[in-house]
Amino acid sequence: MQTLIQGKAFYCGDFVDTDVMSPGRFEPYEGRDHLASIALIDYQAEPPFVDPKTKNSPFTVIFAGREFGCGSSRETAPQALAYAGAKVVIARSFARIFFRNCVNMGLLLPIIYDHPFDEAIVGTEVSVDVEQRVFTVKGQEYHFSDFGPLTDIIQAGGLTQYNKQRLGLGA
Amino acid sequence: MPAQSMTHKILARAAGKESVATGEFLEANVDMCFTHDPVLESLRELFYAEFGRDAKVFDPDKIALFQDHLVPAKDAISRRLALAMDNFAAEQQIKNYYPYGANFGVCHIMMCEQGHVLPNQVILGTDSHSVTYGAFNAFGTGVGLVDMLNVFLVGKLWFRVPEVIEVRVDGQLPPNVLAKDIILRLLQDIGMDGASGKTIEFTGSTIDQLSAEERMTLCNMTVEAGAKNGIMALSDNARAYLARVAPNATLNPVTTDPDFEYCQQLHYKAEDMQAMVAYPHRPDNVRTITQTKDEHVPVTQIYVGSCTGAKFEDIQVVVDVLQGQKVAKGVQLLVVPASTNIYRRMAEHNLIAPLLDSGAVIESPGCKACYGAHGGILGDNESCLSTTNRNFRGRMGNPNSFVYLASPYVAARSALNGYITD
Ligand code: SF4
Repeated sequence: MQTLIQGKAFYCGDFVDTDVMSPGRFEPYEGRDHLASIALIDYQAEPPFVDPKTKNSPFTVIFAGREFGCGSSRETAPQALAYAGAKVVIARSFARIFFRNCVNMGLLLPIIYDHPFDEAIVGTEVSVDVEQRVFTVKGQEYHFSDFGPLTDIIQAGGLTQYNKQRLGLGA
Repeated sequence: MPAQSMTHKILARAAGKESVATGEFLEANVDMCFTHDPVLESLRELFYAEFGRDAKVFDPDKIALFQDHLVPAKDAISRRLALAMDNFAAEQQIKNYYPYGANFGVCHIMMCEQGHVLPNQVILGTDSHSVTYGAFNAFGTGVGLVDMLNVFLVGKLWFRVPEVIEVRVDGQLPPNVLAKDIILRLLQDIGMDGASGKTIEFTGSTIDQLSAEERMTLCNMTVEAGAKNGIMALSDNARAYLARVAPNATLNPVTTDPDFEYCQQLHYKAEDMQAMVAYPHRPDNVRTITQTKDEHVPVTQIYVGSCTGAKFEDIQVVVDVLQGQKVAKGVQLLVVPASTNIYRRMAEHNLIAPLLDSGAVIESPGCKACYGAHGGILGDNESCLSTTNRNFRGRMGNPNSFVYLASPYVAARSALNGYITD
């Protein structure tokens, strides 16, 4: 896991579901670039998360409302966001499978923070210091809690790496 | 020992502990798990890449594989995914494999019908509606690909012991009010994060009297409130179902201690329930049928399908309402039985001819348009009344369409009238 993450902010409201992140109509996916190109395609926002020209996202940090990632268990949802360029989601709360997928895959750091942000934050430069557990928006620092018993999994880079280290498994 | 809910007891047993505390993290042994066609190919590749060319699954008899989301093959990649599953089943000697063919269907229905769900078990699927198994007093929950990848190797997974919400329903439901209406009512009341990460435990005389399939409908949609699992005590109807599908199994059901402290309690009188409809684009955007009728919402597609709304009894309700009468002009009625077993029973019980007389199209089993990949995609601005579980924007394949959720009874009545009604 990268310890210092910097980039532009995107904003999502409450209850953004996994169907709008990676809709079933695009299944089966043709690969990583295809998945990145449709990330959050059915979430209505201006500008959209993925730039239709570059097929990638200019945004690194997603601020979200309640129960981010609700709905299905598809790992293609966090994958799509991460492959398009996002590295962190700072949400008021997460749906449980989406949160697990983020922790387990080690691609997208899920930070729970009951923040006051809204659409106005879109495009703002944000930095996230994972080790110090603080993110900075317009010079203001926001401290977030640690990951409790999940810290080891996050530090290992995901559940598979964690299990391999712990159990001495694998290739 | 602190008082335990049935969910606590199952997790404690699976973790080799006498009791557990709410909020505790533990590693539980998995009794049964599965994955399906959209996930397996990636899982297979990762399994060998991460754990070695000769890696073996923890126990081939505790794994089931289903082809349900992308059958019949939607395109060449779908077929490639199906073939990857053939290979994995052969390499790992997985007998509980249900490919497109003689005996297949939507994973959750297959899990129950094939006797893979028993009381007191920890059952995981790479699918959020794995919460269905609480209908048989099991701890069922959905996980993602990486969780399952690791479960396939080690047979265990970490969990946080959840808080438990009691939803008590007592009394006799009015005629034509179904489990779907109860769960939509609950969603209206607690919202899409009302049970986030928690257990919904159903109690009360109504729950005890529901048929096994209706109990499945209720547990199935607890995830729409964000629940980790839905669960209920074993009932006579659930026992009778298990006696049919798993005649040799020993049942060790669990109950909640009388002094267990729920984090929240909701109490409903069944007599007060009525048919409910979820409006686009959220399953908790629910109104009563009385309100909906007044609005005269026209629909052009009626979809009777999915792990929620295409079990045998769901389809029987539709047939009983239609009685061979023609669906309204301009309405297409799709009936997608959830499994071949249900399809066969429809034939045996003479449900097929009356449906055809009404103008219904009976599709082969599978997930189909429930999640919008194929088979019944809506046009722009088109509205569908569906017996499925989710109506997120684009869920049925077109972000410019509208999906309403209701019971099979409301679906059939709406098919006859061309607008949403009971
Ligand atoms: S029928 Fe629908 S909800 Fe059920 S498993 Fe298939 S896609 Fe998911």
